[in-house]
Amino acid sequence: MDTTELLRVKREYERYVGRKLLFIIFTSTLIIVVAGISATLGSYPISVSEVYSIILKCLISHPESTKESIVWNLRMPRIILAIIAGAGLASSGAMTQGILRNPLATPYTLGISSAAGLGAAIAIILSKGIFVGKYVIVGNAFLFSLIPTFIILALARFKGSTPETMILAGIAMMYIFSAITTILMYFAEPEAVKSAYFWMVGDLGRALWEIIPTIFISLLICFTLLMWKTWDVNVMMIAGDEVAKSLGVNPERERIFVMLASAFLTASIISFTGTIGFICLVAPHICRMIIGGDYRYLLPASTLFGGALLLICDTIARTILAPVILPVGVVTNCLGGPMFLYLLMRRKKEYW
Amino acid sequence: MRTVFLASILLIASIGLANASDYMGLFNDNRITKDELANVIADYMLGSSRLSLDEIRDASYVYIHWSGEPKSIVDSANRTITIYKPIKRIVALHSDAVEASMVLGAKDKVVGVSKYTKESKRQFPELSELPSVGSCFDPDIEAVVSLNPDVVISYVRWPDSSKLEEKLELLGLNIAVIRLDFYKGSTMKEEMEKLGYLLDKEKNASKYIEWFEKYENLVKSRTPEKRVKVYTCGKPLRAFGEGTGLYDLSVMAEGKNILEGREGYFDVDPEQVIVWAPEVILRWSYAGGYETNDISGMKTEYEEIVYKPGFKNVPAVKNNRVYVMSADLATAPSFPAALVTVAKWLYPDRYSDTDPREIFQEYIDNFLHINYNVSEQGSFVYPKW
Amino acid sequence: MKIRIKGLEFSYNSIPALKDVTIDIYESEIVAIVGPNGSGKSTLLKCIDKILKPQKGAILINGKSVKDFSQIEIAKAIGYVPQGIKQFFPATVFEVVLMGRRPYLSWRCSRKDLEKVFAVLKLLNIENIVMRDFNELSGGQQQKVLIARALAQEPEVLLLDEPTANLDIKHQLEVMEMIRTIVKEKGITAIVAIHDLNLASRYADRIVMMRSGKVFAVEDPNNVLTPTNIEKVYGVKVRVIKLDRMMYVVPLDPLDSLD
Repeated sequence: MDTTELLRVKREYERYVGRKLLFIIFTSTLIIVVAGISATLGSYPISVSEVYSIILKCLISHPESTKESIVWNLRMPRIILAIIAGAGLASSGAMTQGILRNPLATPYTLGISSAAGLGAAIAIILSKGIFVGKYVIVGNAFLFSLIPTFIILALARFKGSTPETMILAGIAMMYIFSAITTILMYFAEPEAVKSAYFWMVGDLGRALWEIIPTIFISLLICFTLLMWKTWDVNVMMIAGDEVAKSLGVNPERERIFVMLASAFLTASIISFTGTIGFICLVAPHICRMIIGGDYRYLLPASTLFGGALLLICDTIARTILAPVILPVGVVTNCLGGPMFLYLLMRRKKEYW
Repeated sequence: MRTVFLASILLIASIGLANASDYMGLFNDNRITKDELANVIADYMLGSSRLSLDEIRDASYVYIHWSGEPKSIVDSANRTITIYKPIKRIVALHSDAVEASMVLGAKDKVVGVSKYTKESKRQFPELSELPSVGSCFDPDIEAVVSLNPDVVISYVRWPDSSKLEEKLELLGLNIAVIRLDFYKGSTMKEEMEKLGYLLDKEKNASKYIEWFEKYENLVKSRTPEKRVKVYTCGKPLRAFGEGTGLYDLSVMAEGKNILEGREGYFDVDPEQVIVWAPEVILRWSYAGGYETNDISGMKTEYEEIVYKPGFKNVPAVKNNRVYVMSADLATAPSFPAALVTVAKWLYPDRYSDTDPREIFQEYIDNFLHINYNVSEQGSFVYPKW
Repeated sequence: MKIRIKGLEFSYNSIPALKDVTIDIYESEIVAIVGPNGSGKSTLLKCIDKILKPQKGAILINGKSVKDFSQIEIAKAIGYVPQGIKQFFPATVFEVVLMGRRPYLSWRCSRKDLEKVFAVLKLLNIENIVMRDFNELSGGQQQKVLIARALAQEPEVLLLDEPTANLDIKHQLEVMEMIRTIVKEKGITAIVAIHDLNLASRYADRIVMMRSGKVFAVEDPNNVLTPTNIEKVYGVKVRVIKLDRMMYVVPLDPLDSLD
């Protein structure tokens, strides 16, 4: 073999990979920088240096003064939640796009958001839920959001788990659950409807330290599971279902596996935060435009980028009209639409 | 000799006690005793007190005015609120609470308001200048806390406690959240009494309640033999059933509400309304209020009903008994004025001697204390008082 | 590797595509599968590679039923080059060929995998386009890339579905020559579904002629490509000319109906 040629090709490939790793490092730094800025913003006057010294102090001991409490118990959980939620949504979005081979697909396409919305609406409007107490809305939203997943699983058994089947089934779920929610909201008091609606728009205002571990563990586990399947998703995406079989991949089984992991991750996030839109769509797309479609790098990049993106959106949401707090879903929707158009204009390669 | 010995032991013991406790520690057995107070003052003067001057002032106040005991109420969300020192700083998350504070003569205690209050410049000329803490559904906790309030007053149902009480708890702050609505006729009196009690404005509260009952009783005393059939609605003909403020208003004014037995808010087929043939239609509106003299919004809402196809022969329309009332009048502490207005609409011959506008003006002059002439300013009813 | 197909039957949703197909395939040979559209050529290839599951019959690889092989074991033994160039998402040539290593990858691709990919690229003379976007290549180049991917699987059998369908004359010959070289040098068996009878006759060791899902004839090109056979299977009148020891099928007239 011609070693110089081989070396040249190898070097080209390594440069190609190197760019991807660089982007991943960039997004990690971005998260830290944005978190650092976000922690200093808020209606209560606390100077920048105070904020950082408080953070350092509270890493080892408990917050005591009001200022410390505000930074550590009010701002920090919200920032951490934004990062974790954004990461989770982006990663499940990226993988869903992969297995459904559709750049417009999101976990919401599978009906998860509509079902979670119904669960939350039932808890808010009817004050009825499977769990009682503090987590009645969360519990309801989570349980309901898994219903479409299982219906799609059952349908897949009969009709095969092709992307077409899953997307159509998911859209059907979306319509059904939205319809029931609409009926429910129609007969409710205006203020309850407002509450339910705002839940659905997506809001990080309920962030508390005690819910962080649950969501974080969910992210960790699901991310690992998804990462395990990135190679198979690469094959399914680039080669198609038939050739994937010839390469030793079982596309139907992998599709279901990835769908379950993504659905679980999404459900566990949105049952706390409401359905925050666009992150699962925009973050993977932007990353794909920069580093290409190899999921071994695209998945971690999307995850990190999604965390940074949602954190930026939430910081804007809570400061732009202070003291009025916008729900973060409003900002993601406002930014997401135009951003998506822009991506559309700029895309060079045909996706489908 | 023995008395000196005993006295010094007492002194030493009480110093120890005082040193080992902060403000709340004064409330052993749930009251401040004369001795405790005396010791605390003495410590302060000796420079060895752990209490600040403000806290000592508060303790003295409690001792003198509250017989040394904390004050407790059960708010409209069924929670027991106990305060251990006088309330000096209030954040009012909704405008009805602001109005109530004005009625109780406690407007100087309000330090923070919602953004909706800020927009009501005519109704609250001074208080609308105060800093905003966001919306009553999702208040900015940092803004609330930076105002250093003693209490926060909010609606019973909003915001969710996860957005208010829990966050304040997380911050380890001793800010009481009192949930009082001040927009329902049926609970207005007790809420005013409770807040008056907490704010040490019992006299003003009684004055208001007296005024309220005067007109409540007036309406009750003029109960007709035959009740008028009323239909209460919002936009555009959406029914306001049992449990809503407007329904309460119509029933307390001695009307017979067609929607009896049906709860909540729901849309009704216009044909059904025609079949019910209400004698009076009462519609609630956001289009008017203190802030605008422009009656055209409410007029449009009136015309929506009156010119609706098929409604020509509905008794309420035929006999010109369709009325639109502003939310600012109907669901606020100005309730008695609204009550009499509606009673007069229902039974004009029994109230020919009463001008509800005067009652409203009474309210504005004696309770809101603002320079506002109801005959010339604002748009509260259509077509007429 | 010896492949034995016995009594294979396959239907798509009760539309029969293969009926009672029995063929033996030996090591290091090029077998061309010819027949009109819809005769079951692609279906047969997909059954061999376990992409489709036949309703009846058995496929034995070296005596072991394909059913007993895992998908990955099959992937290590059989490489499939699909018909038509359908690209789903953008990918570089390198990434496409790297897919062929999937049966061997655990999670990261090792140095060995990278080297095998480079080797296969070199073999097919496409190492200069390694970083190009697959979608932007010409038909001939794309076909080579797909063959490279199948070769990266280190298979003992190559299945190719109409590899020359969209290519010009030069690239058609190039690809077929490449297949012949690979078969000779690596001892691989190639089963090629092809509709060009002349290419088939030129390169195949044996030809399987199919009609309506059934095997019509299995022999060396001289004996299969006769005017009678072609008339019966294709419904076309032809003349077969021998030129420099190779058979050329010259079409004359289409017949009105097939019997």
